Amino acid sequence: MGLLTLLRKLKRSDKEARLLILGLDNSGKTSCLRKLADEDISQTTPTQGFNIKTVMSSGFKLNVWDIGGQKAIRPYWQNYFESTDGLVYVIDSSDQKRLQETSVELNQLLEEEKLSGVPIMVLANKQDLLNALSAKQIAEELGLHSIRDRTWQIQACSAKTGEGLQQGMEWLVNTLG
Amino acid sequence: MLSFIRNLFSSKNEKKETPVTVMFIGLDNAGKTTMLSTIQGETDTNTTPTIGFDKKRVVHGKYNITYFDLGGSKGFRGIWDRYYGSIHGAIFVVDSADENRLEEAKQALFESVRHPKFTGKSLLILANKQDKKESIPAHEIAQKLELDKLKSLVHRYNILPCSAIQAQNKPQDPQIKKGVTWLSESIDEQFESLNKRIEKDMRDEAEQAKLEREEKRRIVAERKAKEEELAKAEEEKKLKEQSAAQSPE
Ligand SMILES: Nc1nc2c(ncn2[C@@H]2O[C@H](COP(=O)(O)OP(=O)(O)OP(=O)(O)O)[C@@H](O)[C@H]2O)c(=O)[nH]1
Ligand SMILES: [Mg+2]
Repeated sequence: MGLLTLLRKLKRSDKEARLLILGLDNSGKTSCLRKLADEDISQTTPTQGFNIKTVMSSGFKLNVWDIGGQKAIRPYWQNYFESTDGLVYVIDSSDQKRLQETSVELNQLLEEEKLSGVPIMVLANKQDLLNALSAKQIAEELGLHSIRDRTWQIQACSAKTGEGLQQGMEWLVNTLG
Repeated sequence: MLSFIRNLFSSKNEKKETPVTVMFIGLDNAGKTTMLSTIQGETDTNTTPTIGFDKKRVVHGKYNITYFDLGGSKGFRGIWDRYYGSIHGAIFVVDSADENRLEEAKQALFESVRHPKFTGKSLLILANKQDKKESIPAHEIAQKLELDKLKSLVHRYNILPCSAIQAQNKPQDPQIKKGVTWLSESIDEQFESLNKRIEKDMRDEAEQAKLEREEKRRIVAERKAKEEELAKAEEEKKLKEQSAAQSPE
């Protein structure tokens, strides 16, 4: 179900939305996407290029682009910015050491002209791990409060258990209208 | 020609509107997001709990109001104060049908108005969900929230009963518009001094945010340099070992 149920809620007239999933390597982008599509997540390997998932239902189409997060790949992110309707930014909430790095990457994305005004769903992933920071702590660390030029939302989630993923996407779909 | 005249008028009108920023506060499930969609004239008021930030601009008479909508859940309220510096006034939404949470609402309300960046601004309280059978009338809500204690803390306050959600085909609850009018006029009374205050607070905040961002960038760059250095040293060590192994004894 997952993505399909959400799709039915899309009300926009062009009936097509393009989502981009970004975040550092190992943050869980591909796992989140697979879990949403009800696929097995035990076998994900680092994404070298990108994965595209297109979901169609009763005339609606959701294109989700999942792009690898390794440092060497990050410069290529910008090739995918064009006509993005919504951005999903995935954080490994258990990796405190890399919060600053992911924050710097996010700040760069926020300055991208092609992504200006694009709503952001921040997924505070890996909440099943004991040392995961809460969504509020992540919001503080990332300084999300200084984002004033667009709507944003943060959702605690776990690609492993599926917790929170549906709510996160539901907000995004609601926001895209 | 006609369109030229129209443009002339509309641009003139735009300039005439006074830009005002107002923030919604209140516990989760109070109806803030629903209220904002209603104010925007939307009839579909399906919401999901907010754990983030949204911004909508709505023209109200001679005011161009930017509304901030933030989540009210317990874990998220701590972020509200980051926005106080930018606002002219606030709307506190309370669920009038949820008696059990009025104490919690009172705590949250007073924590907000006591914040140095909030104190002295105007506050509208909307006693929402009056359509519900079990809802408590506004004057009782006012007592339970001890609103009389607000006098020394805000420029002006006012409480109105209302419903963000109306039965189908019924027009928007007029109390909401009335409240917004009251709030904008009350903001107007101290507009000049408020603007100066906001300008200063926002400048400080922007400066602070910039410093924080630069600091992060510096730390990340430093770490990267260190990692690269380590990798290089490792590489050199390996090369040396190799050449040592290859060189004749
Ligand atoms: N009956 C009734 N229900 C309302 C009214 N206003 C809001 N609701 C319902 O209350 C619930 C919460 O509304 P939201 O607008 O999402 O609440 P919120 O204050 O934004 O909550 P957070 O985003 O979690 O802080 C929803 O189910 C709304 O439909 C109202 O006037 N009457
Ligand atoms: Mg809300």
